[in-house]
Amino acid sequence: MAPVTLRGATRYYAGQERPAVDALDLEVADGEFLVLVGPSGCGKSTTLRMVAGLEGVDEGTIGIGDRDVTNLAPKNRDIAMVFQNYALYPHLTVRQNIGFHLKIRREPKALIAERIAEAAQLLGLTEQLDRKPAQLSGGQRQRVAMGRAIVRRPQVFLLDEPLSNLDAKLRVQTRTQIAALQREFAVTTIYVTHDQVEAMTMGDRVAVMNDGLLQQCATPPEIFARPVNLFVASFIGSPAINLLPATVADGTARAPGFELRLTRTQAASLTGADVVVGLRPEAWTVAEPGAGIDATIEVVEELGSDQYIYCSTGDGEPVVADAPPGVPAADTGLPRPLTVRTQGMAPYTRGQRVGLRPHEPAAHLFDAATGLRLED
Amino acid sequence: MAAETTARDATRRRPPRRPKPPPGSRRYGPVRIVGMLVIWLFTAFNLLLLYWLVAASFKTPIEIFRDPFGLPVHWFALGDPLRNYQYAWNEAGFGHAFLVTVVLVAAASVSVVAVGAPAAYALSRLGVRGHGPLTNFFAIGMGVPFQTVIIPLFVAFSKINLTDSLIGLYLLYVALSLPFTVFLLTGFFRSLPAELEEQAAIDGASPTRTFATVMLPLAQGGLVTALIINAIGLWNETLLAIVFLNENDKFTLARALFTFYGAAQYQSEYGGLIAGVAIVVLPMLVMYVLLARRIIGGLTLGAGK
Amino acid sequence: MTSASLGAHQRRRRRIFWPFVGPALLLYVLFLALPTVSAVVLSFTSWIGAGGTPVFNGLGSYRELFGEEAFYDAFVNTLLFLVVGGVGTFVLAFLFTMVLREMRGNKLIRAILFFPNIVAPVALGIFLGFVFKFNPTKQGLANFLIGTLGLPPLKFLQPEHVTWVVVGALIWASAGFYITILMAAVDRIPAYLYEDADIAGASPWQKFRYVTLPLTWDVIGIAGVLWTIHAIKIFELVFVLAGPGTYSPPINAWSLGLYVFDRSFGAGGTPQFGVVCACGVVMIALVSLFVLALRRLMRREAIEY
Repeated sequence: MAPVTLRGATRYYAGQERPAVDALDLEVADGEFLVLVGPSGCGKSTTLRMVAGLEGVDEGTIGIGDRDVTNLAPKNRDIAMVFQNYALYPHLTVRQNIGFHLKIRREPKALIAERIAEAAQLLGLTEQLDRKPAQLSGGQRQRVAMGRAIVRRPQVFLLDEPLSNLDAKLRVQTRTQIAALQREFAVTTIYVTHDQVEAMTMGDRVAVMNDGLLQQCATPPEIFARPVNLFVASFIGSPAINLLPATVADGTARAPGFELRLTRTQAASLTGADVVVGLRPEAWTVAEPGAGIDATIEVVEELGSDQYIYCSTGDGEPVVADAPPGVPAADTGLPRPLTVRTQGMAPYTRGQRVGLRPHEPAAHLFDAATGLRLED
Repeated sequence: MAAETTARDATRRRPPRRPKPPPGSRRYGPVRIVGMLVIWLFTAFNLLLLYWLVAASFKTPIEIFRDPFGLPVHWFALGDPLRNYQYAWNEAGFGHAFLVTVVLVAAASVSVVAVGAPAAYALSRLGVRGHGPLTNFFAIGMGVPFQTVIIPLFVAFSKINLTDSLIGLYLLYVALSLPFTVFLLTGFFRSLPAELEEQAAIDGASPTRTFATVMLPLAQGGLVTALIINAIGLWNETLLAIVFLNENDKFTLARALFTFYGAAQYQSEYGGLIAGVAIVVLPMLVMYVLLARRIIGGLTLGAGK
Repeated sequence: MTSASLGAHQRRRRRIFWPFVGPALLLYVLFLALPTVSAVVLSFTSWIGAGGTPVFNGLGSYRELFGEEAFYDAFVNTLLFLVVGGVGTFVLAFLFTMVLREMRGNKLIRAILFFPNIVAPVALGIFLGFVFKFNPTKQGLANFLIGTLGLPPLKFLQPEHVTWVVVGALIWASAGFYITILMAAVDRIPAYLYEDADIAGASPWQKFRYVTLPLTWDVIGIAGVLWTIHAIKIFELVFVLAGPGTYSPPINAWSLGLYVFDRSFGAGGTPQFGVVCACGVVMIALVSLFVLALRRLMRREAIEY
């Protein structure tokens, strides 16, 4: 078992001015489950492939344990990788697929058989050992790919969007299974996904990337509670956070319908007069019209235990700001709606006018000019 | 917390001209070294031979043998650099043969595609019972060596006065190119999506119209490929041209080269001979340079199915 | 659209089947299928060709054929081209697939290696005749190079050596074609399988053995069939390379294709159409035998991704 260290790791692609991964510093502790998350093209897969040795490192270094592996071939890194498409050999049986790496490494036959049996048992593949990948379900293929990684007993597991080819229900099941496996083996794991729910539920820590840059690396509660910038705030959380532009005067941020007093530290680190107030859907109270922000309910999403209402605000300009680039937009089809979580089975209806009162202590403040969080 | 601390100004730095390859990929094992060596030798050899051919076609026999890698000098010094080509073109009849070949090959390859494309379409997409065995029946034709059928064909053709006739050769070229063409095009038609055809049917187009206005334009790439591959094959065809043509004024290029070879040896007319080889090879080379992707793509399409 | 009108549409589609397939089928049957059958029939007759009449003589032609030294030489040489040339070509092609995938500029290299395939075999033969020429005053390219190394010149084109020169030439000229077909199949293998093999630590040989070979197996089978068809009918290359060009080379350099030509349309002796047809039948039998053997050898369940 070993920690993984990236120092200033940078990767360019031919013909592109901007690096795909830009001076990435990241430390994954021994036995830790780190999730790399970000929108597509943010450099997370490239980062994983650099750790695997499938991509060169143009600047910086990568270490596994106390070895510098920057220029080491993939086979000498003692890693195992699970590919998005599983990379199963279509002509080999499940048994041969799982044992493939051991066979290439000329491990003794008895050891290979033993490891395969063990992995198959663990993953519930014993029945399928003599089938070919084409005869397996998506979930089974995914487990074969996991099995092939497990039998290696590597120092590091690298998983590249391993669940993206599964249907929603299976994805939730497999999510738990992978997390449990990782804890059982206590192997350092880097897991790449574009799905923030996967990231928040599985990782010991989550590293959010955008545009080749690491935005924030912290535990899921920390990321959720103290996003360092507008991007992280809007990428993490579902439905996404509401961002409201406001102007600061006399230490108070004012927006149509509400005011927020800045702490002294916040006021001190401000670079201009404009701020963005982030308020998650759960940080609101729905009141009578006239109280707080005037809003009209446009869509009611009933989930049973919760209800989300999507509101248009103001008569002219909406009070909500655009999400930063790279963040997937809400799928309600409304231009910049204000999203509020209410109790399940609440009696709201479409077209109803309400007043929305923010819960001020839950507000996140960001400098509009830099996008950075204003710490309180 | 790593907030933005890593976000340096990316524009200030210069990206490397060529990103580093993955580690380990530059390692040279024995297989790699031997393989790369053979590949480079092979490639260099082909280029060298091509150079030799082009250079020699401008040389005197003495230059050809004494100084095989040098540049041609003598004919240039005499102010008659195209002397070998003129000899081949005029004295050895390559000029006339060139014309004959262009017309014959163009007519035959267009005809074979015109006959083969509807057949391939019908075999691959109409869903008529027995299309499988019939397709195989056509494919088996690719395995019949010309030598097997040459006697019966020759005897039959001489009975109806089609020997020593370009019409006869044209018929043979079309018929004997059909198996490959049908094979290539059935593979191609099979790979086309069914939706457009169904859409045309729903719009009320007749099957023939659907074929002509929907499927043929879709299959254009495959048809052109079939045309080119047939043209190359027929341009180079020698055996049938030798057997079925006797008179000089009907000779195709390959046939003319075959005859000229013997004569040139006796007269030591090596310069003219190489110019003749060049006249046969260079048009194909030009075509190949322009269309390599299509030719190779078409062949692999046929083999991939 | 109702099912009744859909059925009507399907019927209309079927009605165009024969008009579409007919012309191609007619040409094919007339000029290839029937001649093949009549060649088989004629092989059981004794016939001197034009002027004479075929007389049934049972297996007489075959007996005569098999008793002939020229046929024996031609048969052995053709097998040599087929087997030794085939093994050489495919070993080379396999070696290239191991290395070429990871090489820079590999598309260009492939195009250069493919080039000899678009050159007429006659031109190739004449050209190689220059390369391997032995003549104390006019040495060909090969002996020129040997001479610059200070070694004595070799008589490459002597009848006892020429078969091996042809085998070499065949491998050189054909390798590009098979490399191209195999590489196209290799390109279709998903890159992540090779990446997984890299992580496993597979050597180039292991990658070939465990990834490339099994996943290109069906294309290799097709390539083998194409090779068989190609190698059986080799004629011009041998005729031009081993002989003076005007008449056939000595019999110990012959191929089956050359035997057929010499005994029917060549300069020497009375034509023996019955025996020649028997040889044509042997050729087609040889193709069938090898193709069937290949299919049996290569049989394996289809791979699905």
